[in-house]
Amino acid sequence: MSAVCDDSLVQATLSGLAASYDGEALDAALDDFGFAELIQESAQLGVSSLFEALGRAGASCGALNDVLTTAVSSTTDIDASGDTVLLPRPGEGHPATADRGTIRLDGLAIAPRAGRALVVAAVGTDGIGWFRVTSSESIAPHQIHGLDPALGLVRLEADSVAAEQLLGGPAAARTWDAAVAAARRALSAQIAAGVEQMLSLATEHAKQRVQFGRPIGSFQAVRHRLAEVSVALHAAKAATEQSWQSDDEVLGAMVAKSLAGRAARIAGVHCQQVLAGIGFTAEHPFHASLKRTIVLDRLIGSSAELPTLIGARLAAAGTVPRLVAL
Amino acid sequence: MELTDFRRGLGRWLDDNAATLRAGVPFAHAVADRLSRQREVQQRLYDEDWMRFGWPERVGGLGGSVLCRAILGEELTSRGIVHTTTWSMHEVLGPAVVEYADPTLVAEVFPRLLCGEETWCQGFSEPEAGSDLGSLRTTATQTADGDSWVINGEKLWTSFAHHAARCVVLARTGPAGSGSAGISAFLVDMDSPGVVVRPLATMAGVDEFCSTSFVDVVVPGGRLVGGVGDGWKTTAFILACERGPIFWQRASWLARHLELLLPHASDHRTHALVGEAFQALWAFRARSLSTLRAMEGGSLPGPEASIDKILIASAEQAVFELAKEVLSGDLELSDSAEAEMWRSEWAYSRAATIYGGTSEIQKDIVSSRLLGLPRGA
Repeated sequence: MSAVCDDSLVQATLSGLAASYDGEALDAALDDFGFAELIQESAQLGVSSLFEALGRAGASCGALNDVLTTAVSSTTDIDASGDTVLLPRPGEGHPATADRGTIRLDGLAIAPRAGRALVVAAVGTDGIGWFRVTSSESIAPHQIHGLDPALGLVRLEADSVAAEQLLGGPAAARTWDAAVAAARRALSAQIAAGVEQMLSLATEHAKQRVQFGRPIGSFQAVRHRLAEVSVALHAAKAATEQSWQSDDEVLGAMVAKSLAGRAARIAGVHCQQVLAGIGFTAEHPFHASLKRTIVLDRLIGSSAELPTLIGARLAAAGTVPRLVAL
Repeated sequence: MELTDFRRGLGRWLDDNAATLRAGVPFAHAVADRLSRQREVQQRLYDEDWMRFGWPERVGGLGGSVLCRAILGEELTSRGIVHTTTWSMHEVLGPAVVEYADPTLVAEVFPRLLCGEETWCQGFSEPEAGSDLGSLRTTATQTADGDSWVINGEKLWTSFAHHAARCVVLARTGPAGSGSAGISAFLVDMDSPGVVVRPLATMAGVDEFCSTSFVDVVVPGGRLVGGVGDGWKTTAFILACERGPIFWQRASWLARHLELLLPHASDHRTHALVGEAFQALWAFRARSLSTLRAMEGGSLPGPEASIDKILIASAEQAVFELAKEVLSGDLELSDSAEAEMWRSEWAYSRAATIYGGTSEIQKDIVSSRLLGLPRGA
């Protein structure tokens, strides 16, 4: 990996991989490339480049798990590199609860690798603790088809499994916050790139499609819809980029994810309307980006939920942080 | 001076002098009071040099990064030491005059603007030329001897004109119908015979807005800002500069007001509104960072800055709509001084999507210049 020090080379390589492969084949290609090692050294470069590439190509793989395990391993003594870290289900704060050495878990993972141990943040009477499930093989993964079957989303559920506690106390809560923030930054990049795809499809269509003797992109009703998407997209991209520099990593990632999901909602409405009939067909690629961004928006806090959490956090602190300085 | 040193030193000085700078003391409604309060602050900032960083030495500055000016505005508005609207004016007009006006004239008049001795105003919009600025009708006709120009016409939205010493006036020097190509910019003394200022009441209750008429106002040729027919270029420069430090300090002003509202947010509904306002503000800041850094690198904001303009207008309206919701009826029903303040700021925020180029004009720029869509019929 050390030979690859040029940012644009990393971006181009990851872009190429995401455009050429999908699912397990993409995971294998990323292993050969050394993605997990890359993000230990250059998190922003690696995560942004890959997840933007995924969003553009509409590809999916298990890389979000690498982001989570890296966040856990880099803030604690836990070596989670060979594990699967569970995400909470929509509307839930955590993927598991803990009670006297056993865990009740019900969480999600995107394209998890087979044969890996589960690592979960579970809420117990003492707050959040980190646990490794000692009998992960007994938990059957349930493939979720849902709105976007190609994403490879899996639900893992077990009423009572044995687990060893890895970490507790304030450090465990901080690590959970860091892991969630890392996942939100990655998904923000992927969602924003999906929005960019939708905008580019709709913009091209608006230039080519002629009605009433002129390209529909010359009608202000169309132009302003696409301009609104562009504004929301620029906001999401800038917030995602700056979330890496934010002096409050948790808040920065919440805002980035919220704005990315918001951009996806706006793009979903306006780009669909501009693409009209052709965008409603299954053969046109629009619906794939639409569905992908809608599902990703729903994970670990949607753009409908996050503003409330952000507001509560600010109200509790009583201050409005600057997040970044000039 | 390094930016971090500048910020730290300035912050310390402002905190040490917070009481005499009247930090956080509510602003009066009367523009005359706001301006005289700012004049005092500005003169002290000038004497202590804080005001001079980021401006060229030839015009009374001390050089250094343009970001010093953004930081100065940020530290002042976030502490409630100056009001965001009055603080904008030297940033709106200063850069263009420094860039395009006669250097001798600039060396004479610009330091007075910088130290607070003078206020300037902007004579752009007209009764029949708002968004379509290129259709303006105010004329400037050269005198027979060629030494001077005679300006005739009416300008609207000339903020602070009734307290201004000078005005940057856009006037048609080309033939009628010459559009944006036939426009020139002039720096006009407001005490010139024939200049009549009439304050216009606004829904915000602040007497900032004015209508200014020019009847046979004689302006020396040396008062051209840029060459004859270069007015559109000067205008584009002014509008581009507006997207820099001015927006940055306005965002800090908004953050300060958002913070003042936090104690009033106590349930899911109001937390959601706080979150919406914060993320709107943060979207602007994240975006503006790259605009300001590009300015520091010497490039003027281009069409991308239309995004900044739309974002800050949304943030401004989100913050003051939040005020309306969390103050539980006070904004609409109370006669307290605090309610009066929120009412006025809320009303002013209604203009955020109108002044400086409406949001619709910005969307047209985004769709044509950034997305490459064909222009409308």
